[in-house]
Amino acid sequence: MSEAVFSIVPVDRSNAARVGDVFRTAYGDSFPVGYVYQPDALLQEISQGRLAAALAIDGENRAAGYVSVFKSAPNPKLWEAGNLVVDPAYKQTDVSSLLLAAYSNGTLYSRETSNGLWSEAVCCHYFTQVANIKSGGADVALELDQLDGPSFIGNRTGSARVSCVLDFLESNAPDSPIYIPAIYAPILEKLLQPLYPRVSLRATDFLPVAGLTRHEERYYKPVDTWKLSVHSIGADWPDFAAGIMTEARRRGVISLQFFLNMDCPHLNAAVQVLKAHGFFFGGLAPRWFGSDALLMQQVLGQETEYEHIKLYSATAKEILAWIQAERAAMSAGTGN
Amino acid sequence: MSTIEKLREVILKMKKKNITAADLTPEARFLQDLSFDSQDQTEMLVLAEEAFGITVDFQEVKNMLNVAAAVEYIDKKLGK
Repeated sequence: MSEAVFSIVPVDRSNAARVGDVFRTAYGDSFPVGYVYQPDALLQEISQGRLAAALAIDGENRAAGYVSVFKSAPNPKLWEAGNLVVDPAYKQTDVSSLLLAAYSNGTLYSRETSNGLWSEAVCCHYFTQVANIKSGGADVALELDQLDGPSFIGNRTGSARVSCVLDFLESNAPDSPIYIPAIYAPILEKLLQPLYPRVSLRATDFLPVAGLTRHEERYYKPVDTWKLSVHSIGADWPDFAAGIMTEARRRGVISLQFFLNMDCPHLNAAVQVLKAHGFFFGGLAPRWFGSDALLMQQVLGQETEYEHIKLYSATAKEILAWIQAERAAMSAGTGN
Repeated sequence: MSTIEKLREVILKMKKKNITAADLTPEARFLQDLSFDSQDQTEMLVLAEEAFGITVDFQEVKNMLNVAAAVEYIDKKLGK
């Protein structure tokens, strides 16, 4: 790649207006995160501690790219890395590697005050997956068919949908135990290995007999993806899950994801309810709630084009193999 | 099969538009002649890891200029 020289500088009042300029070079005015085009809104996100961002500036003082970390999970001590964009004029330089380094080396956020950093790497190319692994991250989940393929035409996806690998870099050890459903113990124990040690117990309790399920959600209409973060399971869990299925079909959701809090001894019973609705394993979302989350997912109205999923790490490939085996067993009526 | 022949297969497997085996001479430069960007270069190296059974140090190869340099790097990794 080219040897152009760039400096990575924090976004502040002096350069916030240039962020929108960079996004327009790549997306016009259609990038779905509105504040990137609005300097005041961008600066407000930064001042309120929900966003940290940097620009790459070339030797002639032109903005070549942008990267950020932001808060999106229920746990306010968790950062998500993303919204990396490079002006297409700089695509053949190594500016994207420099921008990725800005979050993986801790330039943008303080590891001391956070539980960790997660990111989603698209599986229509290897670049971000490789960068995440080489930066010390661990692949922990595979979000199947999460994004719309045609919006990646420039990236030669060749598929209707694009899956994402969830990668995680943990900053410190959790202080409470997690409960593991017996059916996923082998794969979850592998996914936990690169993380700080935590106390793992088997989830053996029946569903609770009282209380209501408590959750929050994010619905991404443009890509037909609905993510529900379930803080706690209540006695209403079977009805809750059935209601979500009905609503997902009504909305035309394609990727439906449940992040289940693993501090719950009822987790195995909760998973069985989801499996009866066709949900299958997705992986681990470490520290999602402070404690870890188990990702259960379902793809509705769409055949997964496995042959188009590009995975770099052995772990990501193992998660995919687990998913394919579980889905095959469910189709054959032999899934437990 | 020689290293360059196998590397040609790797690059053609990427199905990058307008690249044929004839384009993949030792002198062919990734950036200028083959229009590679960072995603292309990463994909080539990931596929080369699989094809040759090597582990690539992505920092070491980030300024790799042409096909001959890639062949030299792979041969070095293979102990040739």
